[in-house]
Amino acid sequence: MDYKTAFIIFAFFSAFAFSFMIISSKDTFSVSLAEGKNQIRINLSEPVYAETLIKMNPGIEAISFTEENRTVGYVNVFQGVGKNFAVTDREYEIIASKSMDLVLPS
Amino acid sequence: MIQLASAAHFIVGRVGDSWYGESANGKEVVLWNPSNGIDDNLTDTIGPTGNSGADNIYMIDCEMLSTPCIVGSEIRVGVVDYSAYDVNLSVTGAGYDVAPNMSLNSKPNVTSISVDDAITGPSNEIDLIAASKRNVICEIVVEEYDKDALQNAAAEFYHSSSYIGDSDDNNSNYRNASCFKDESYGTEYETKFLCGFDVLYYANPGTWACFFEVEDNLSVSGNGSDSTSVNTLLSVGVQDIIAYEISDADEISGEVEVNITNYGNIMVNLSVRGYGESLEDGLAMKCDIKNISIEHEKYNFTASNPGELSLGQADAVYTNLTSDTVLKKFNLDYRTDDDANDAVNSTYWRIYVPIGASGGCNGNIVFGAFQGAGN
Repeated sequence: MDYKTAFIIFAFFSAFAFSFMIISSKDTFSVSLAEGKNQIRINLSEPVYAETLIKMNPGIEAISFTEENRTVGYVNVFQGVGKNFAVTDREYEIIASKSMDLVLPS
Repeated sequence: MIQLASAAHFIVGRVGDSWYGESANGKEVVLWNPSNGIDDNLTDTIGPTGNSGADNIYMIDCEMLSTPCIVGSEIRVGVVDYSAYDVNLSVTGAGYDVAPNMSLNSKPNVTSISVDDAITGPSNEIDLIAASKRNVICEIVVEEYDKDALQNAAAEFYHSSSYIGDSDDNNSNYRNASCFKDESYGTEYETKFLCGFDVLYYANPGTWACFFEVEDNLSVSGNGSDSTSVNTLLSVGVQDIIAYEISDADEISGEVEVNITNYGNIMVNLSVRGYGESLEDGLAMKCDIKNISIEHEKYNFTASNPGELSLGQADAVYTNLTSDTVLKKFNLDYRTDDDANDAVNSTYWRIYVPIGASGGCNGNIVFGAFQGAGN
């Protein structure tokens, strides 16, 4: 195998490996959100905080849930206000400013 | 993911601290829809201990109202038990709505207050005027940081025996609710007030204070006070002329009542002496023909003895006038009744006209007031 052939083979495998890395990085759990209110239940193996979720999804305007007849929420305004609760296995209302795919940690 | 039924619409807003530094954190805000009445309301605590968890921010889900807000609802938010301007907003279809900013109201701040009369020296002392009134001015500077209109300015000038809010009393409490307001004074935040009091001669001596209070147009008040001293005033007044009626010589005149009025603000005793034409001339009266000696004019400062009396009888119940000053106990207290002058006491006078004295007679009696003990 000459030098040129070796380089082509190396470039081919490098491109393949790079593509695999990109695919891996997008291999996260996601769902489509409609513009406006979305009521969903999220099942996550590891909880994520509301602030983190909003940072991952800047199109989210607010996320909230009801508990004991009150609303607990986190709003994407003034750099984030509200209770920075852990998003776990329960029902949530997510208000999106636009249609989007909800990005969740893998 | 399972779609579930729940709803929230957050109203988020910022409440600024007052201009003079009172923190909004910890205060409570209330949200309601005026169309549904204030009874259907939601509250939140501003700041880290409230829903927002952030300084000066509140956050309320208006869909938790008994009649939940909907797009287009007109919502009002105010600070509970603390004057601030309420704000209104319309609920939109967005994920949340930001209410207009509010600020805690700053109360009017009295930065200076001084009370005195027009006599500059000595300062901080008020000298009353006998039988008249002294104008006392309370001068106040107020800073209103919110630039709200100031209203209901009122000042009270009151004696240490009195209290703020007592009813008007010329001895102890004066009130002025028509103070002059000078809005051109000082900075854009400052206003000067001048509150005048016509203090009567019988105002109690001692420590007085001017208490001033003013409200902004949210009815939040600020106040201040300054004290001063009202000096004692020793003064008596007597009628101008004592006219004895007598028909013949060698007779005692009828009794003439002479009223003495206390025109000061302390109890007085009396000094008295007489003269005909010049001091210490030994005369009670100088007449066209023959004079009347000083001892023939007589007085009684405590009791009336009406009717005809002989000279001997008169001498028994009256005291002879003298050319030298005599101090007499009189205990005439100062005026305390605003409607009628109760600081008046009577004295009683007669004169004996010796044989030979005739024609027109004129004499002088000099009354004086003193504070010490008399006979």
